[in-house]
Amino acid sequence: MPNQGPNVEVEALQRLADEDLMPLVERKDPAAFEIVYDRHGGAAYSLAYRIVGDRLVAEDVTQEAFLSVWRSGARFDRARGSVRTWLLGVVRNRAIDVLRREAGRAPTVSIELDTVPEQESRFEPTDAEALRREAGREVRGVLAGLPEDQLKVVQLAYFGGLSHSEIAEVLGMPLGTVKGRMRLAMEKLRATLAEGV
Amino acid sequence: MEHDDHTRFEDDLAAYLLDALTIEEAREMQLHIEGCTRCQERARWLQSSVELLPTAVEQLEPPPELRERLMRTVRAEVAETRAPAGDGRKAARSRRGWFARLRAVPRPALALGATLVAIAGGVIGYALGHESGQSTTTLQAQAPAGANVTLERDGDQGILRVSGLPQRKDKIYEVWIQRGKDVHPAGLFQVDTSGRGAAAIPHGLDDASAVLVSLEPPSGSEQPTTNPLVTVSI
Repeated sequence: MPNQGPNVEVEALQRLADEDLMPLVERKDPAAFEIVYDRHGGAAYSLAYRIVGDRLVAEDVTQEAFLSVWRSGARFDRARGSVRTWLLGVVRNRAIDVLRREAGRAPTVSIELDTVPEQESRFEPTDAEALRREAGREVRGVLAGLPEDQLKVVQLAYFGGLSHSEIAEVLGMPLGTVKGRMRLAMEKLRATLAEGV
Repeated sequence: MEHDDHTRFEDDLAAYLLDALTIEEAREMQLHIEGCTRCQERARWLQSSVELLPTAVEQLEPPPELRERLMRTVRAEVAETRAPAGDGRKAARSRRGWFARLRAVPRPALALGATLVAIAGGVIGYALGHESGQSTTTLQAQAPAGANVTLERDGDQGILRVSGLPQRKDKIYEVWIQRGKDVHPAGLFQVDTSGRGAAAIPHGLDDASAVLVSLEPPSGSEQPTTNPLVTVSI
């Protein structure tokens, strides 16, 4: 008898949207979890690395984040956004926790945009992945167009995990100025990307 | 005064969404947003720009070992959780690598519909395809006319394969292991439109006298509620 098992399973699950895979993850289905990881593990690891700046630590952060999703019974609420956004939020929180645990460590103040060409994947990107990459390029383009002082406060907050008052202290500027720059940066990002992303 | 407060919250909204407020400030902001439709709309508008920030980072390929570690942990936890307590079968787990996957489709999921049943069938096919090195005995079952049921037994575990059974949307087929006069639930399955289906029996065949199948309510039963349709004598 021909063995079509793995294809049937993988194809059936891969046809499911993220939001439909999560209930299966909640029921402890490793195959569904594996697909969620395959879809978002790269973005999760990349974000973790961007925050912690170390590949081994980024691996740990990504692993902990995905295991927390697996073990917590996946507290995903589809009313509050996409699975990807939620997962990356979990990863970011874990990575920021790591930064904060390392007391005295200098925050990631680099405002170098991520201009390094993306690594060539060993696999052909799916349509969804190709769209995400295109969106990423657009976002990088918009960020590159922000005034440096606005970009810096956004990066320190989002990737550095600093509060507005910590940013004010690091940059030696009034709190109101920090808040104002955050607001301007996010408004500009949103307005520029309002169409097409 | 209210206007001043609102302006303050509106000014802090970007910092709030960037997670740059203190816990106390964030709590205040949350309360304000809950009661302020203008800020709710503005938060929704700005939120999407925050969500785009992770896409701006250099995309790296995670090391394959990370995926392997994760999946190893996940599968081990599933096997640990679902193994009967104190059954002393830990030593046998390593050779039941495929079984961890069989149990990946949990019992409640079977009630979700035909899609998941197809998935379960696929996993079962996968399982047998990867265990060719082990000796398997095929036992023929007593089944209704027109149906063919076999039990492919491999020591304490096995796969029940059926064909020619009617597809029932309102019921589910449940597998039972009989030991003397006792009957224990051993899994659920459905059949596809062509009447074919399969169920994994992870363990319990060593001391079983028979494997039975009966039609049960969609979520399955703890004890058979109908006479067995299928009997495989062991």
